[in-house]
Amino acid sequence: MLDGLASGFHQIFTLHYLWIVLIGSAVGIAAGATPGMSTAGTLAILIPFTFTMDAVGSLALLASVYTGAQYGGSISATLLNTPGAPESAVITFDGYPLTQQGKAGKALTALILAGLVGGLVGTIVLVLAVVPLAKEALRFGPAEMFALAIFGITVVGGLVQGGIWRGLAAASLGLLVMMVGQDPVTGTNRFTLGSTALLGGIPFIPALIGLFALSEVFLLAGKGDKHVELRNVTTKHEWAGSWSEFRTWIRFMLVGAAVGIFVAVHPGGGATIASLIAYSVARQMSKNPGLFGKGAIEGIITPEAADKATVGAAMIPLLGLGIPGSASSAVLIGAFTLHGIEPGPMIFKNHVDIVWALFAALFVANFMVFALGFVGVPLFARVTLIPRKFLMAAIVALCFVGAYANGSNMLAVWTALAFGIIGFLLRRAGVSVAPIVLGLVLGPLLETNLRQAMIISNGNWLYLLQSPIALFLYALGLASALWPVVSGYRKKRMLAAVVAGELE
Amino acid sequence: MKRFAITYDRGVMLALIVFGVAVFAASTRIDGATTSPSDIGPLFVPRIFAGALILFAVLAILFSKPSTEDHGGFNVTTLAVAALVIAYALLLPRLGYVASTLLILMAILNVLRAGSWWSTLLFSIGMTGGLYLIFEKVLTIGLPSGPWGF
Repeated sequence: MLDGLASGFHQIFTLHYLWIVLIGSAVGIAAGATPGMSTAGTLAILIPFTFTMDAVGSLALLASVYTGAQYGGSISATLLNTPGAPESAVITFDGYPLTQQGKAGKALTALILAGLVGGLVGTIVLVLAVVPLAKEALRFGPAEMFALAIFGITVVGGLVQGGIWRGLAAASLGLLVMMVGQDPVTGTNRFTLGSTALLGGIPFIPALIGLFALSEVFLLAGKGDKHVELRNVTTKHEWAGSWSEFRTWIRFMLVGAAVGIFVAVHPGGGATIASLIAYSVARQMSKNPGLFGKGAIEGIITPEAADKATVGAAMIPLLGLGIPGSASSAVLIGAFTLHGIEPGPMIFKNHVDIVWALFAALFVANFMVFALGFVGVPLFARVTLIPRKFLMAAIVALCFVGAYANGSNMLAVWTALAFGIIGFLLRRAGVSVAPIVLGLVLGPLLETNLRQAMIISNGNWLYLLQSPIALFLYALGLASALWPVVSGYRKKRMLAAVVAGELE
Repeated sequence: MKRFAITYDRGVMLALIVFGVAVFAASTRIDGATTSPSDIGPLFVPRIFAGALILFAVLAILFSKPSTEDHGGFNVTTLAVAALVIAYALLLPRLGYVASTLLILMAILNVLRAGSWWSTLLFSIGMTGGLYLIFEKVLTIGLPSGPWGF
């Protein structure tokens, strides 16, 4: 493991890749700080910019954007009371009161440090956990892979907003869409509408661009421009007042990181629920719970560490099993497939060098974001003031040029447009588009392995239930399906506790 | 007794049901021949997925609570932006990347009343030119060219 990590750092520690990680981190922070730019949407837009890069460069860029965006969202939450992303919403509870008290510099310093601690802990756990998981997954045959895909579908429960049934309907739509094109076994044309361009199926990256980025433009158009005002706040950094205060910070950050990892390793656990749980835990741990909602440093560093820890932890199911743990990690699949790499256990056989380089890039990106946070906060704070209308126009141009660049044909553009409209209609109904992406990823995996299993077993359906690993995965799937019921109840309790705390 | 209201989210689920039924109907026109007697064939899985879509959408209509969050409006601006985006897709292969992007960006900013005419023009030229330089010259990915070669 250490040899692998050393080889990863050896690859990344070149001027070329360090530049890529630096640029990715800066772009990520800026995009994260911009209200209206989701992390998944930013990643989808940026994939086309990596077309001519090698796999290591492409993944290093996107991993650093992912890392930076999680921190950027907290800047606008603290300074403007406007979270850049849903997972940063909890930061507004105490971050903005700190800004109002003239302590924005201290809040931002604590957030940068919390991000570093959370990010590093999350990446270390990723490195330690993913290799054994992938080794186990390498023993999987078609029956186990089918069970894994079924387990993946149940992940929808965690990814979904707007109710489990709507989420499952969205996932079914994604599964169904991937049936377009030639049948993998017989080569029969399915649902191609007579078009030769559709024989290869629906292009994945333009679909992502449409679902996450273009749909955002239509939603923003309906919301209008919200005037935001950046107060005359000082963003000069300020550390903890004493050594004991610093130790308290570190303790809360480590607790936050642990919560983030625990939530995110459940596929679909997500950063939003992780940061909410971390906030609640911090309030229970604090000696001054009454300060929460009025400007408690612990109220921002614990969820921030949890949020950043989810970046590495969400990649455990992605790399170990081929199942995305969050919407953003689902988009990363686009970057892998662009370079002919299938995320999942086989990656450790066929492209292990790239995986170690990705891990090294994540470590380096955490330090880059930390450094950029120190020198660039005043600049990134200004980014939050970009008028939303110009941002919308820019996203449209980026979506079109990015989609066209994917296949150098108009099918890619029309795919992005169609998925943009589908994404808009569903998101307006309160349905997350992440389950559709999950369906797009798992559809071919599910069908191919089911048919292989049937051919191997001479059409015996019980073959799917004969493996202990498959049975374990079905049980895990059941638990995963029940998870939203439990977490939804917890989330309601957390919110109730938070609101009650603010009213006290 | 509670009245069953046709809300927007239920309407979306109804559209998914119609789509699922359409896919099911379209599958009847596909050759379902298999290469092996134990193969389930090219139609089995798509029909299962179409059935799942219909089932879950029905369950969503019956049991999901209507969304109470503000997910953005559906007003004239949304429709105008959507129309311009569709126009962009139609113009791109005909006018080429530069002319169509410049035109559509200016039109979108105009519809959104983003600012003064000169800021609209400057932004549109900068965005179009910047992306052209990055994709066409730096990444050497050919963008659609119009009658005038760019």
